[in-house]
Amino acid sequence: MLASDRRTGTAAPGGRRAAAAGGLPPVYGRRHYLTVAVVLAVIALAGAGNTGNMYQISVFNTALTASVATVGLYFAYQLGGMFAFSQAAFMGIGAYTSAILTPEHGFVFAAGVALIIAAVLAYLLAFLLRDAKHMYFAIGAMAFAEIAVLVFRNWEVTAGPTGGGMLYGIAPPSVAGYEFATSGQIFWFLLAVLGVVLLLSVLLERSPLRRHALAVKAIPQVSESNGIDPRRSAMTLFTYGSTLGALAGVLQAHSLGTIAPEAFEVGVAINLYLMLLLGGVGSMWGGVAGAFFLTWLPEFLRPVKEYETVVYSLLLLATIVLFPNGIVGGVAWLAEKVRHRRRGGRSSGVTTHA
Amino acid sequence: MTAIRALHPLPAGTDPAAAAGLAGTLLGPVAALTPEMGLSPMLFAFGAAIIGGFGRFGGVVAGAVLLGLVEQFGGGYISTNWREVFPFAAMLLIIAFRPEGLFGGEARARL
Repeated sequence: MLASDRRTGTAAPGGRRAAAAGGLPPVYGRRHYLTVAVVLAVIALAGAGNTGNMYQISVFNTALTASVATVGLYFAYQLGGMFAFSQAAFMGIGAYTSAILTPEHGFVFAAGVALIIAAVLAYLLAFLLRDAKHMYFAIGAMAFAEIAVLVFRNWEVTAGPTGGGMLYGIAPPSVAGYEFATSGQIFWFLLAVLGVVLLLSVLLERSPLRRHALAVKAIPQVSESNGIDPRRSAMTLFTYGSTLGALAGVLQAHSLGTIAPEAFEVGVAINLYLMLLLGGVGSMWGGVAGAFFLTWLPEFLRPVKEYETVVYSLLLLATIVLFPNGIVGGVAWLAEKVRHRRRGGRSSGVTTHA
Repeated sequence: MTAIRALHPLPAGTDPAAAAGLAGTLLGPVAALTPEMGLSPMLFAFGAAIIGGFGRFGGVVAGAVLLGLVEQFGGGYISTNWREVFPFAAMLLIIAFRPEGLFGGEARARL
């Protein structure tokens, strides 16, 4: 069984039992909605006490923004199978477009145009590289990312020649006349956006597109002979994931108020990958968990001062060794262990994923 | 039947590591040295290997020379400001139209 199929794998037997007992037919992957509510509630509870503290809440805001980008990366990379090293570049495309258009057209319109531009560019990139596989696609995406950063740095429109691509004084997000001016207000705005993103993603997780993508990943020839176009599902998922990346860029630009080309380099995309891998590639929740873990880790390491970088790296290594399936994978494994012991040795076979 | 010694005198990682070290030594006099300098030359090297095609040693060298030429001629004849864009654009286009590199695909031994 594929690692990413774990959740639906555990849900299926219960659903079948309910159907057999004469209840309503099971809703495929219904438990996702509960998880969305739980994740949002946990973040809200953790953040609510800190909305007055400018510094603490800005760390939350960074983590929320990164979550949106890593959830996108999950769809582009894990489901679509595309090495999306362009994720940070798409953040930049979203951030610059929205920052430039907001003064004249307002936040909502600017953000909308930013997402559309990013989606079109992502689809074009995926179309251009449709025959490139694995490392070839990775290099193509990296080349795209490098070009994007060079454009931010050199183009007149992004204040390239005069200001090195730095934009200042970007207005905070405002929706329907209400402006989210303080960091505390921005926190609730970002949480709401993450909620919408997670709900949309759950719809995608439950859609035939996901099943097609998994089939293409597992057995490309057989799924193709069954009428699934392997390119189409990959290109759609890459476009969706990259658009989420652009959304994260929009959120970042308007919550920080300033952007620079350095924030969208390939290294940043690799950092997003690290978040996804640490959190667990098995599901989109791994992206959220990894984003929060990696954003908060340096904050917890303040007491060790000059050894911060060393301890940070050691902790990353330890996490990778101890949780080969990421934090979410590790928690699922522990939960299964506990359940296993309580039931007295009856295994449900959930932990057998590679 | 041919016997191939499974234990090479040097582990397989040693050669590339030595070559990378040599590349670093050569890069030293022409570029600024910082601990973080690695990523952009590495991407360039990857690009060269990809567009040459991993299959042949000569292809990789040709890819590297081609990228360098594209950068310098692009900078000289088209636009100095956008000099750095040209090699990446070349990478993107070559991968788009020759998805396995200019000179073919996987590493193969002639038997």
